[in-house]
Amino acid sequence: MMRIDVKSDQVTIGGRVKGQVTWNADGGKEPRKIEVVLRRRFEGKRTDDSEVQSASEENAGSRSQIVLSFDFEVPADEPPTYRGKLISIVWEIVATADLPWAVDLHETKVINVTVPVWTAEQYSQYCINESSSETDPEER
Amino acid sequence: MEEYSRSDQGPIAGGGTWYFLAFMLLIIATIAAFAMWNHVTPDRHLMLVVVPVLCAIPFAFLVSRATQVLRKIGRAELTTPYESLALGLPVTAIYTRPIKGDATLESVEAWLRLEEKVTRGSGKNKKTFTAIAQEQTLTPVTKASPTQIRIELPIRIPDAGPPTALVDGVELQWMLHMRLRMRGCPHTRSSFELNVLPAVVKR
Repeated sequence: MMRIDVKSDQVTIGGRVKGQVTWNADGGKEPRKIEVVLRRRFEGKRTDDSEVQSASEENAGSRSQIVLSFDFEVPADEPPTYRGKLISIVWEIVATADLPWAVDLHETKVINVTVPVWTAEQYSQYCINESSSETDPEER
Repeated sequence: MEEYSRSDQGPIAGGGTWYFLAFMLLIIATIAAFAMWNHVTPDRHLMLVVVPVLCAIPFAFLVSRATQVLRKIGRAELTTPYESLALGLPVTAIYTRPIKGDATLESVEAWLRLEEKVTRGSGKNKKTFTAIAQEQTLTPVTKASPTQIRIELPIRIPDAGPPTALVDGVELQWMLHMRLRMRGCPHTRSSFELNVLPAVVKR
């Protein structure tokens, strides 16, 4: 009934994840609202999650098909996907259909957040900026 | 190129747990001696003095070792080409430590470790879990000098990382740990935090 399609399930930190959530009524209940969220979730010694960005379609009406497009940015200060000993960091797109008088329907798509590839010049430029912003407090 | 130096996080001589246990032993023995002073016969007062003195020995030993190390070889620094390292990029870190006395470096071992630290709960229920997620042994190159210990350490953080991260009670931290076996002064350890950027650098 609900499907998440992403253009690519591989995204770099600071990059964008685009796609759409498609809801088909298939003769069942009509949702009041469709919401899609980009979230970072921990697995292991911590199990909490953090909603990074969201989009929603409130006026679902009585359409037989609802398509909700999304375009989320993975913030540059967030960690990439990680699988460790005590903790794992999972990135996912979660779509929720708010159904009247029924349990909400959820659909999840795991995405792989990686780090960007820089050239040596980009790296040295970053490091020069980093050291100059430390010596010049006004630049911070 | 502007080099970046970071200071040593030790432990200078023995881990923090040993200092804590030795100090607690001394405190408990002292408190117990004071509490019992008026409840024992005067001929046993000598014993109440001797016990805390004996319990002070482990703490005094640890402090004297740390003082000896600092007097003979000073504080260490680790220098890297830049403050932040990148994934996949090999760099040579330079470990320097002044020699003040007749101490000499016998051997050195070094490891690069990825440490996970997860904090759960708050207040009294706050609990921190730690684990070593990755470890690689480094090959240090020692340059002999009568006034300074100088060790070159080739470091390469794997492409797959992860970078340094601190989010919502979860910390991923790359650390350089070193064990220095000395002659003419107590053995010592060093450790340094390495900040790793979320980027793979290809030459």
